[in-house]
Order: sequence, then structure tokens, then C-alpha cells
Amino acid sequence: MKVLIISSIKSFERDNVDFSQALPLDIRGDFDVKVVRVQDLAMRFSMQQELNSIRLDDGRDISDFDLVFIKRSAASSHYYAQTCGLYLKMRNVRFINTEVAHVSNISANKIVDHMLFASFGYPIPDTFIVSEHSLDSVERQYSAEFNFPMVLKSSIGSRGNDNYLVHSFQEVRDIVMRDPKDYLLQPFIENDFDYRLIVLGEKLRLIIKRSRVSDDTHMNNTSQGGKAELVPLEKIDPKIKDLCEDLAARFDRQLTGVDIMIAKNDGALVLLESNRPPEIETGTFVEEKCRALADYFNEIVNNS
Amino acid sequence: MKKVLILTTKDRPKEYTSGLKDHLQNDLDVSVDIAALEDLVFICRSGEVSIYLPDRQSIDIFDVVYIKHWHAAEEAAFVVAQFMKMKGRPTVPTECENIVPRTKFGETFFLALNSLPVPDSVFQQGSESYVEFYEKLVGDLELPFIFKATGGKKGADNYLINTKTELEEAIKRSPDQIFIAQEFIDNDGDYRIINFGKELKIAIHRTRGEGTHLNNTSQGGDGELVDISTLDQHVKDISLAAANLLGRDISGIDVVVSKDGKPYLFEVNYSPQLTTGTFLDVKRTELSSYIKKLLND
Repeated sequence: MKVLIISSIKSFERDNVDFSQALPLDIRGDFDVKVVRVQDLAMRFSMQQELNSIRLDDGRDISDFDLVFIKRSAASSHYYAQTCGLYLKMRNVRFINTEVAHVSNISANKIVDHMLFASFGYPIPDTFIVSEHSLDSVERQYSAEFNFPMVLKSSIGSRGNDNYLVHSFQEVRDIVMRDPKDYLLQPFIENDFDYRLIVLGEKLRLIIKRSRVSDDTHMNNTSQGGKAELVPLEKIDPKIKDLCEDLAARFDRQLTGVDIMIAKNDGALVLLESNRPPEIETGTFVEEKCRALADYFNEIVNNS
Repeated sequence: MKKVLILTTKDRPKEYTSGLKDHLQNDLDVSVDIAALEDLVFICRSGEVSIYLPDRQSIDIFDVVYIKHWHAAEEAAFVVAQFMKMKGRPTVPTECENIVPRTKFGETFFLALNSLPVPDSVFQQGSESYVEFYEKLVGDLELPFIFKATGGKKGADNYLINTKTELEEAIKRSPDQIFIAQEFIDNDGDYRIINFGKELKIAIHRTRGEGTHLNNTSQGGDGELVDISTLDQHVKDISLAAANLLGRDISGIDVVVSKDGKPYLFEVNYSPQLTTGTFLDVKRTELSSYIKKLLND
């Protein structure tokens, strides 16, 4: 029987001794106990279930173990701990502490979001999680799958900040080491525009089409100089409407701005993000967004 | 006229929300108030939870609460959402109800909102507010009271306060901490009870040494193993209920029984010193048994 202990940078040394050597002989003898640091895990998320993986440095997946103990010390990197919990839940692997996977989809963190989206098969781009700790491991485990140019963006970035178009893993390495934080590495998808879909009360209320006006950037965000126009609700592809309303309902997101792109080469829908809270009183079309919010509030107030 | 409260956080510029207030008031026949989550005052007295705006209006006078920004004050958003849910008033987004509390603040109020016994408590995000409203605090909790860091461990940053000067000194000693104030429950020791899954497996009775109000063994207290079967059934019931409520597969529940025999839940530690502290062999054996049980089920 294989038992994996997911620890943290801070507690690894102690946990490694305690769980590998100090456990009573009756369990140590019976079981193969491995201790890892949560920050070192190499993560990949995809809309194709079989491609989702969270790997140790030796190539084993955390779901290859019979039991995984996510130590609470690992929860200091709680986005990682949550992601591991949600992943193990998806793979039906027994783990403790199950508390870390108790939804917590509240977290405005793109790592957790991508895990959630992947687990329900939403059309996210193939996504690798990179940090200063996992750089080597991610390169070792997944380099054959990289397809440059790619987009490297911070897991907590907003409005297009900390979002880079990169052409090699060395470039990834340089950015991560220069500004150490958690990043998502995704293939760059050719596109002419994207949509910001404002969903309030699980109902699509407003659609903003954003397109970049310069080749100096790969981003369509209006906060990065992109052009914006309103799209009438009846003009949107029903598949896009269904996708964003389904997402809002499934994850109990009553106020969200869902970003969806249409790939230029094959017309596929690509789910980029679900922003919570969405920009209402800033950015473009403030008047229209406030009115949409007022409509939603009207429904709630009249029902309360 | 119906009343809407918009809650935001201090890191967001005011104009983000004030424009929204005007729009909502113009478009709807409602009055809109705005407050920062960090400015709310949370009080639990005899199990009843109240949440106040800085002007001491209770937030339950509002028909709808809209938590606009919460990431800088997640646990306050969580407690507000749970509180309004209990009051049967809508809060958006309801996803705030799903935040997992990680400090003594969120846990204490969540336990109280679910009718589990906790000491009377007051929480304000800014430590200076405790000094500013010291008289009110003493009125709520009486003297002496406990003043402890919401994220404190092993009895650190935990003070017994008798005077305003002691309160000021405590804040000065721990300037980076966020505190919760609680009534002092006079006691002859406390229990650290450890659950593994849905079962309570270990109970340690801890008693303090001279010169401290803390029973923690890490603060010099004595620990003695207690046979779980001899524990009062009510103590066992509330301990397990607290661990289950918080969804903690393994936790260290601290219970104090007052001198008049009433049990209070102090904390549900998510990291109950399984590999450190006292009675290591017992803890390791129970952990092994639990892991074996999980693997064999």
C-alpha cells in the first residue's frame, strides 16, 4: 500500500523524518510512505480528463497512491493544497484532510479555478502551473507537451497585469525567477477578439466584445488598450451563453465576468477565466453594467 | 423603502463603490449603505451573534447584503454570509458561505452560529478599535478578559487583560497580529481532544503552571492522558460536532469546562501537533490506526 504525505517547504524536513521513520513499525513495515513538498508538485490541467495530472519529481502521479495525507502545513500554500484535494476528489482517491477540498471555489485564484474547470470538462486551454519551486520539475515532466509561443500569466493577476507572451522555457524561467510567484503557462491561441460575459444571478446580462488594436500586445483587455463594443444578447452563440450560465450555476457564482475566446484556427470555444467580482463600476460600459446589476438587485429585493 | 448594504474592503478605492450606490439608488426604489468589511464589529453574547456597522447599526436591518469585494477580508465575508443566511436574508454572492474559516475569528463565530458553545467574544479587525471602545468591551466581556491573536499557535500572543494599559501593551508587543477578545472562563484545566475521522480517539487534560492563564503544554502546562470513555458525553458531543462542522478529518479540539460545569469550545486546531508535543507515541499509534482503517475500508 502506498501512502503519500503532502507537506510544505517549512515542514518537509520534520515530516520526512516523522512519517518515513518515526511511524510505528506496524504501519511503516506495511506501507510505502513518501513525503513531498506541495510546492514541488508539477501540475497540468486540461479539458481532456486523461491529460490532467499532478506529478511528483519521479514521474508518479499523486493519484497513484492508495491514500494521500495533505498535511495542514501544506495548507499554508492553500491554493495548492485545495488544488490537490480537488484533483484527488476528481480521481476518487482517498485523502485527508478532506477539508481542503470543501469547495473553497471562492478563492480568486486561477490555479484552483482551472482545476475546478478541468474536473468538469470545461474547454480550458492546456495549462501548466509554474513557480520558482516547480520550474525544474515542470520542465522535466511536461516539456514534450509545450507548444511555444505560450502565455505565462500570474495566478492572481488581473486586468492583464503579469501576463506575458513567451517563446521558450528559458524565457519562462527568467520571468519566474525575476518575479517569483505562481504562474499559469498556456498555449497562445490565435484569435481576433474575446468576450467578457457579465453573468448576474446565473443569467447572462451583458456581453462586451474586446479586441486589441495593436500588434504590440497579445491581450484584448480594455485595461491594456483593447477596443470594446457591446454585443446584443440575442446575437451571441447559444453555446457561449449556455457555457457561462452553466459555470455560474455549477460553482454558485452569482456575480461573475466570464472571459471566452474563439480560436481562430478551428472556431473552438476557449474558457479563459471567471472573474469574481467582475469589474462593474470601472472599465468600459459602466452605465450598462450598473443597470444590469440594478436589474438583478431588483429581482432579489422584490423577492426578499 | 427596502435597504441594501454594500460591503467592500478598504483596499478598494471608495469611488469604486460610491458610483454604484448612486446608480442603484437611482434605478431602484431602495436606500443603499456602504461599509468596509474591516470596520464591522462582531459580537457573540450567550451564543447570540450580532454584527454591527461602525455606527452600531446591526446589519440585520438590511434586506439584502451585497458583498462587493471580500478577498482582503475573507473570513469577515464568510461570517456575514452565514449570519444573514441564519436571519433568512439574501446575501450575494452566496459563494461567500463556502469560505473555509482558518482562524479563531471565523471558527468561533461559525461555531456560535451553529449553536455550539463558545465564550462570549468580540472581534474587530483593527487592534486600535479595542482600545478606542475599551469601556464597551469591558461591558461585553467583563474583566479580566482574554485577548488573543486569531492566528496564534501554541499559546503565543495570548494575553489575560485586566486594565486598558495591559491591552495597549499587548497590542504593542504583537503589532502585526489581528486579535479576538473573549470572556475569561475560570477553570481548573482544559481538554485537548483529538478526532480521527468521525471518532474521538485521544483526550489530554492540561493544567497550567504558576504565573500563566494558559494550559497549553507548550506553555509549560502539565498534560495527562484521559480515557475517552470517562469524558462527559456532552463534552464529547460538542467536540465531535465542532470537528464535523468544520469538516476536519483530524483536529485538536480545545474544551474548557468552567468551574460551574459548563463546557466551552475554545478552538478546533487543524494541525493538532501529531508529530510534536506530548504523548507522541499515542498520537502516532492512533494516526497509524486511522491510516490503516482508511486503507482497509
